[in-house]
Amino acid sequence: MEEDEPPNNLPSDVTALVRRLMEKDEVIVRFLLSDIDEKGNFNDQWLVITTKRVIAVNPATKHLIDVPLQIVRSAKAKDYVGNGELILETVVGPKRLLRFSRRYVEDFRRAAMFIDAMANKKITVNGKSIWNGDYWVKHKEYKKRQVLRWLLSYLKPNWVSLALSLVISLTTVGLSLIPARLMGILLDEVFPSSSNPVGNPRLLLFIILGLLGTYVANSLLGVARSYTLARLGQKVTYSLRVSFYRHLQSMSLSFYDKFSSGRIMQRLISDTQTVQWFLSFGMQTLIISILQILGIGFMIFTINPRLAVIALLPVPVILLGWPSFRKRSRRLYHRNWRRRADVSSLLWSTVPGTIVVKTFVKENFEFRRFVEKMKDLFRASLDSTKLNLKFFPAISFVTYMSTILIWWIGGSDVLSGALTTGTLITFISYISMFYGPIQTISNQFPQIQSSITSAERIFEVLEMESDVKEMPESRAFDFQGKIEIENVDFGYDPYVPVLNNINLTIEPGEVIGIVGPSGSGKTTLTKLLMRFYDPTKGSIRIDGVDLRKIKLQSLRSQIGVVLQEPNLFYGSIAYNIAYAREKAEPEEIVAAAKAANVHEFAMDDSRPLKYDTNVGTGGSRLSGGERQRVAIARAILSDPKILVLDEATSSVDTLTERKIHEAMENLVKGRTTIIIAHRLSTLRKANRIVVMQDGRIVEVGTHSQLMKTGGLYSQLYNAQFEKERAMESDIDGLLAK
Amino acid sequence: MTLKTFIEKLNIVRPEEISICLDEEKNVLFLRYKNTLYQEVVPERPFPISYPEFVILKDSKGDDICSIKDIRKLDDKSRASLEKLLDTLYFIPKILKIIRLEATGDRFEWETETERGKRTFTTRGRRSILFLGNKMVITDTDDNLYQVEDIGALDEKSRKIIQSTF
Ligand SMILES: Nc1ncnc2c1ncn2[C@@H]1O[C@H](COP(=O)(O)OP(=O)(O)O)[C@@H](O)[C@H]1O
Ligand SMILES: [Mg+2]
Repeated sequence: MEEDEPPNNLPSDVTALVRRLMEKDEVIVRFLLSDIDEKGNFNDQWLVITTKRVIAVNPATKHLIDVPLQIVRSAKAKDYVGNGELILETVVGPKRLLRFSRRYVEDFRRAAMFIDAMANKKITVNGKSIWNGDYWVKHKEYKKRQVLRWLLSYLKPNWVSLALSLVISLTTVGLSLIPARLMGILLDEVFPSSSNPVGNPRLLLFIILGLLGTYVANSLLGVARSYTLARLGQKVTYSLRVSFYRHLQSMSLSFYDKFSSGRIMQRLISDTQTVQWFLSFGMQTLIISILQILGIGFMIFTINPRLAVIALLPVPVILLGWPSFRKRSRRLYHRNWRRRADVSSLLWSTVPGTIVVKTFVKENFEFRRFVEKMKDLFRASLDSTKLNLKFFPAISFVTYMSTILIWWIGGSDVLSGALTTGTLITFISYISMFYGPIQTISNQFPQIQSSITSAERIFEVLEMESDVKEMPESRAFDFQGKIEIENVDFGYDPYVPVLNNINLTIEPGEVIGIVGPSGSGKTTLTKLLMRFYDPTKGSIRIDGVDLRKIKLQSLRSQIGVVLQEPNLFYGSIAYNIAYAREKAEPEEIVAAAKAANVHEFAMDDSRPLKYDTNVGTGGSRLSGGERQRVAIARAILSDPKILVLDEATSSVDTLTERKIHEAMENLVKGRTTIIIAHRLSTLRKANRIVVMQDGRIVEVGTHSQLMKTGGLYSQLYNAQFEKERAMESDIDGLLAK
Repeated sequence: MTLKTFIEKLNIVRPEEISICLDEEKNVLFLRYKNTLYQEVVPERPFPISYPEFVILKDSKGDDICSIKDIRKLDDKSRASLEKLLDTLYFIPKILKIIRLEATGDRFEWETETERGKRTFTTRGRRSILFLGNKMVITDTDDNLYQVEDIGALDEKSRKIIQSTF
C-alpha cells in the first residue's frame, strides 16, 4: 500500500520531447510510467496519450515511438512471464509500444482499454484533459489521519466516559504539579534564612497537610482513571470486533480468494487486541504524558523563562529527527506484521492439514519451513529494536545535556543572588518530571507504533467494499425457476477468462445435466448463479430479473447448492441438516435425511447419539460420502426453487448414488435442477445435457441426440461405459474363480 | 411439496391412534395401530438429546411402522410402557449439579449429582463435550453418556464451573 504510487507529474524532459511531436491544439490526456526501457533494462519509460497520438518515450535515451490515434484499431496489454507489453493494432499491422514489469500490469491493461476506447471513439476527449476513473487503477492510500479519525469514530458513542476520564486525567496532572511547588515554599519560607531568621513552623504544618491531601487525591483519581479508560477500551474493542466480523461476512468470495484465512484471523484476533491495548492503556498514557508535558512546560515558564528556554533546547532536535524516524519505523513495523502473518498463515495451513503432512512424511520439511519463517520474524523484530535503540537513547542524551546546563546556569544565578535556592530546586524537580513523560512516550512508542500498524491493517479490510453489491432497487420475490444466461464472460482474474460467452436458457422445472472435463468452468457457472461473483460481461436472469436486482438473501435462500466438497460445521448431524432452516421440525429433518440416505448411517448402532452425534470440525468424523449426503439432506430440507448438485455424489459408491438419485427424482419434480456429474450414467434422466469445454458450451441436447451427433459427449460416454463394463467383467471373472 | 411426501412416509400418528404395552420379558413392545397388532416392536430415538420426545417405532424386521412426534401426548399407560423401555435403550442420565470439575491438560475429572444419584467420571478431550443450544452432552472415557438439559437452569455454582472451563 505504501509503495508504487502512480506518478502525478510528467517530468519536464519528457514533456519537452513530447511537445515537439504535438500539434497546436493537441493536449496530453494521460501519462503512465513503466519500469522497463526499450532494451529490456529496468529504467523509466513513459507512455503518453494525447488527443491525437500515443507515444512511448525514454527520456534518458531520447527513444521515441509515436503512433497517431487515427491509424490505431485496437490496443492490447499482453501478459508474459514477469513482464508484459502494450501492443497497438494499427492499419499497417501490429506495433509494439513498450514493455512493463508485472508491477504495472493492471495500469497498462487499463491504459490499453482506454486507448482502445479512444481509437474506437467510445470516449471523446474534449479540448481539455479528461478523467475517466474506470480506465485507471486507483492506488489506495491510507492516511494516518483517516485511520485515527476512524478509530475516534468508535470512541464517539462513549464520549461521556471519554470526557470523564479526560477531566480526571487533567486533575491528576494538575495535582502532580503541586509537590514541587510546596518544596520551593518549604526551602524559601519555612526554613530560616537571612531575611527571616526564625522561619515559619506553622506553615510547615500546612505544607504537610497539603502534601498529604495531594497524594491521597492522586491515588484515588488514578484508580478511577484507569477504570474508566480500561472500560472504554474494552467497549470500543468489542464494537470493533463485531463490526469487523460483520464486514467479513459481507465480503464476496473473491475477497477470500485474495486473503488467506490466517491473515484474516490475525486481523480479527490479534490486531483488534493490539488496538485494544492502545485504546485502553496506550492512549491513556499518551494523553497524560502530553498533558504533563504541557502543564510542566507552563509551570517552568512562569517560574523562570530564561531557564525554561534552556530546558526546551532538546525539543528542536527531537522535532527534526522525528519524521524520518517515524517513516522508517512504520516500514519496519509493517514488515514485522507481515512476517508474523506469514508464520500464522503457515500454522493455519499445516496444522489442519496434518494428515497430508504426515502422509508425505514432510514433518521435517514443515519444521524447517517454520524455523525459517521464525528466523525471518526474529530478524525483522531485531531490526526494529535496533532502530529504536538508535533514536531514543540519542534523545535522552540531549535532554541530559540540557539538565546539566540548567544546573550550571541556575547554580551561578543562586550564587549571585538572582535566584532563590527554593526556586532553583523547584525548577530542577519540574525538569526531572518533564523528562518523565517524554521517556514514557519513548518507551511505549514501539507498542503504540505496532497498534497503529494493526489499526491500519483492520482499516484496510474495513475500507474494502464487497465486489458483489446489492443494487438499491434490488428486490425479493418468489422464484418460478426460469434461468437465462446471456453472453456471460467471467474470469477470477478479470483478464484470464474462465467462462466464454455462455448462453443458456433453462425453463422452470427443467432438469439440466452439465458435463465436461474438470477445469472447464462448471463449478464457476454455479458460483455465478449464486452470485458469489459477478460476470465480467453479459447477464444472468432469474424469471427475467437480473441477479444484480435480486436481494442476495432472497436469491441464495431459493437456490440450494450441494458442492463437491460440502462444508459441514462443528455441531450435530441434525444441526447441519437444519442449517438452512433454523426452526425445522424433527420429522422434517428425518424425512430429508431419509431422502438423502443419511438416516441409515445416522441411526447406526455405532452412533449412540444418532442425529445428535457431533460431526467434528468441518465434518471430519464423517466419511466423504456421508458428508455429501448430509449436504444433500440440507438442500432437500431447505426446499429450494432451484437445486444445483455440483458433483454432489462423487464420493459415494454407485449403489448409494443410485439410491440418492432415485430419491432425487421425486424431489426434482417441480423445481429447476442443475446436475453436474462425472458419472454420465446418472444424467440419463436429464431433460437436456450441456457439454462444457474450456469455458465454453460446446454441445446441448438430450442424451440420445448427443449420442447421435457423435461429439464430445458420445466420446466421453463411450469411454466411461467401456471402463465400467470392463470393471464389471473383471469382478465377474474374480467371482467365477 | 415433495418433502411432504417424505414426511408422509414417516407415518406420524395421532396419539389416540395407537396404544402400546411393554413385553417385560423380551424388552420389546406390543403396538396396536390401525387395527393391527404388532409384536416385538422396538422404539428408536433419532434425537436422544435435542428432541427426545420424537420416537420412531420399528417392527421385528427393522422396518419403520410409524413415528410419534411427542410421546408425552400418549395415553398414560402407553406412555409409561414406552418410556420404561426407552429408559433402558437410551440411558443418558441428566446431570443436576456439578460438584467438582478438575482439568489436568486434556483430562477432566467430573464429580456430579445426576437424577440417578452421585456419579464421578472422567472425560478426555474437548470432543467429548458437545453443546447443543442450551443443552450439553458429555461422553466419558468408557462411552457412558450424560446430559445437562438446560445449562441456564443449573444452580449458580455448577454454571460457574461450566462457564469458567469451556
Ligand atoms: N477461486 C479461484 N480463483 C482462481 N481461479 C479459479 C478459482 N476457482 C477455480 N479457478 C479456475 O477456474 C477454472 C474453472 O474451474 P471450475 O469452474 O472449478 O471447473 P470445473 O468445476 O469444471 O472442474 C479452472 O481453471 C480453475 O483453476
Ligand atoms: Mg467443479
